[in-house]
Amino acid sequence: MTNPTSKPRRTPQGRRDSRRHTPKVDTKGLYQRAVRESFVKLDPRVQVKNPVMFIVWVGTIITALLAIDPYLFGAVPGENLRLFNALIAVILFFTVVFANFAEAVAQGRGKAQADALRSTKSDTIAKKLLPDGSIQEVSSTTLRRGDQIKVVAGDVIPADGEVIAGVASVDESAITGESAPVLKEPGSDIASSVTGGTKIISDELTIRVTADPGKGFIDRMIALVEGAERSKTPNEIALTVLLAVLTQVFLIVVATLPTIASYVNSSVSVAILIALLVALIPTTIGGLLSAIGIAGMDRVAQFNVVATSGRAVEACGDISTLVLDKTGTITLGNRLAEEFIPVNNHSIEEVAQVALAASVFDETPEGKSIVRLAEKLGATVDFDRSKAEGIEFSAKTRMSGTNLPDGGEVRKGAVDSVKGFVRSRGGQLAPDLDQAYERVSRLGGTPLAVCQDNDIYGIIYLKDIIKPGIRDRFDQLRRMGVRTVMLTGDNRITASVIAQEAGVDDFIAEATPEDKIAVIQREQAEGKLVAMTGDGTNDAPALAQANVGVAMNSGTQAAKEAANMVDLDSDPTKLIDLVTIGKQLLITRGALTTFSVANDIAKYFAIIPVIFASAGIQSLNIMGLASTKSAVLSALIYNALIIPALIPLALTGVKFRPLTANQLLQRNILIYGLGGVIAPFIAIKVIDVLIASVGLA
Amino acid sequence: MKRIDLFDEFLPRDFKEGVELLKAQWRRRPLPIQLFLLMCLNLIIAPAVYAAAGTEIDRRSAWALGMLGLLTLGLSIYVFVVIFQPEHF
Repeated sequence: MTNPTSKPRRTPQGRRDSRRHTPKVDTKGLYQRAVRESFVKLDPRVQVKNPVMFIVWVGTIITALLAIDPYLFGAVPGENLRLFNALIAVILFFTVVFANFAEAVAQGRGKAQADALRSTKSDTIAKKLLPDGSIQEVSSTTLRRGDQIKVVAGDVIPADGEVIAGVASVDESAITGESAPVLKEPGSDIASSVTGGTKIISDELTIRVTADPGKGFIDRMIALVEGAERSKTPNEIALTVLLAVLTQVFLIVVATLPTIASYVNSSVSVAILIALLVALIPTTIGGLLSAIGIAGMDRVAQFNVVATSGRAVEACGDISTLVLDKTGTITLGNRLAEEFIPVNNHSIEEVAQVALAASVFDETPEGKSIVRLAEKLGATVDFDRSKAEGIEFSAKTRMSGTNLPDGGEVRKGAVDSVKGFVRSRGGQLAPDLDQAYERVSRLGGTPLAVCQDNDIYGIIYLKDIIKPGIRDRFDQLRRMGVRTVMLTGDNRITASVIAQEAGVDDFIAEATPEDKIAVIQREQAEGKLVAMTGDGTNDAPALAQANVGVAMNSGTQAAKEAANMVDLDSDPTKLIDLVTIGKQLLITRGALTTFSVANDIAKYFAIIPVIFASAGIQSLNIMGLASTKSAVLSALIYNALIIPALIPLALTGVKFRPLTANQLLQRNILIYGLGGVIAPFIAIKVIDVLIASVGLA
Repeated sequence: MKRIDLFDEFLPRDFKEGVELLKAQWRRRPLPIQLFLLMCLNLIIAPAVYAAAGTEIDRRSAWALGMLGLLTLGLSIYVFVVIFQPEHF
């Protein structure tokens, strides 16, 4: 069901154990392009998409007009008004440019990644199979879903598809970075799908195309990281509404302020009103909002995961239950035969002989390890393999084995299933079978019973190894309030031992594929958001049901289409990293919003005393700013500079800590709330001192 | 009953052509036409501002303040659109 290999992993904020390769991203000239792009984005048709920055842009134009004619809106007291208004216009202009720059850098990084991915795709000549069996050479762009193509060694696979004939090795390093070739064959849950842009390095395959041009997985990933067709996520929409409401409130307040100022005989210029409006509206988060979203997608792509929408990435951050397969996710996956335990007065050699006969057609790592152990104990195949028939494992029978040429039947599988098989053949159950079964289960291993016809010979002990560090990761998830549920086909005793060792919150033993969907529905009925991984066709309904379904790239097409994310490295453990990335995205957005709103307090105390100077409220000038003009300029300069200062934080994300929601909230309020109140007071005062010292105002 | 097109019947031909041109241009490029109509509207607002302000401001400032008021109103409507249709922004 899952990829048995264990790979080193990279955590979003942690050290990089081993470089998880993504196609090489060329970031040369990124900042030059971003600077150019930030001026191109001054186009009002682009600016109008960001309400906060659009208002700043309109304010820039008005103050620029006031720099040309300071008395445009009537007489205003004061000297050097032209210079003062020009300075305000320049600062506001750079506020818009800095916000554009933040977005352009994030988009530039995404575009660089998309270009690297695009380089793995190229128009190739495909060998299309016609209905009469002949081959026609066509451009890969003309291929459509359902077409059949043939690829031979040396060819680049022209489109995403499913293998329907042939066995071949495929080099998937272009998308996964993994240099070891992958075996592809038809009818297999883990090896039947191929990705366009990968290269076949031996033999040949017949493939049914499963995606129209431009709609393959790589194309989806390119569109997402480029951010070109990125639609807003629910969280972004909610934040946009909040920012618009705040903007509306401050717009109304500032528009009505001259009336109050006039009442207290305090003349106020339009330029200062615009400065106050810009200082009060949440320009910091308004300028960084899209950059945070794009950077979040970028981080997911860096982890070699294709997300079909930003909504899926964000949902990762809200996940409350993780449904995980035991094999490959919690344990290393390649369970190996450790020991044969004879029962029913049979010798160990007899068990080895029957186990070998039952495993000769079994190509799984477990089957091969049984063959190796049996051969080590001297067992040999004593029948004609060409006349025997292999019986494949199925989720229903939970057994596999061989029908021998002499009519005999050897089977190995789950103990209950083998017991049922023996009873159905009129056999008796061995009294010492349950003891052997319990012994293996209590060791956390998987017991497989082995029988021939109506006689049980013994138990095979398959040793399961829990992935190192997985317990710590589950502890982290628990602290974050995420519940983990382990699903396994193993018996209850084995499942409980593994669950206890790994530290999962709950487990379901002897699980069938139907149990997965039942668990997800049960959790969702309690109002929880559920994430799961899967790769088989029988996982598809559960992947579609889950709020976040991550399919393995090595899995079937059905699984990939049902899921809303595809892991190109086929590493089920990555689901835990995705939850971390999603939470980091949401925390970053929340933290910067808190900081942006908290900044208002200091800016308010800088500008309000200026407006009501003649009303005698100079005591509000608690920062002791040098002059009315320097107060306005300091607040605006701080307002502009804080945007580029926060770009690195927006792009890399706030450092993630595995804490509960309440602890995170307290921590963020302390750092970004209190910090957002204090930092601008200090920064504005420093800027004011500098302005006064150079005699600018 | 016979329908009489009052628009065709009584309005001067130049005015009718002007309106047709505005309608055609509105479809192609609405923004300049909207700005033009706003400035026309300001011809009503500016004298009111001038009258209300007395001798404190001149005619030019009254016209600029009228435009500023309309712009503020426009921005307020735009922000309301963002609040009610955020997915378009």
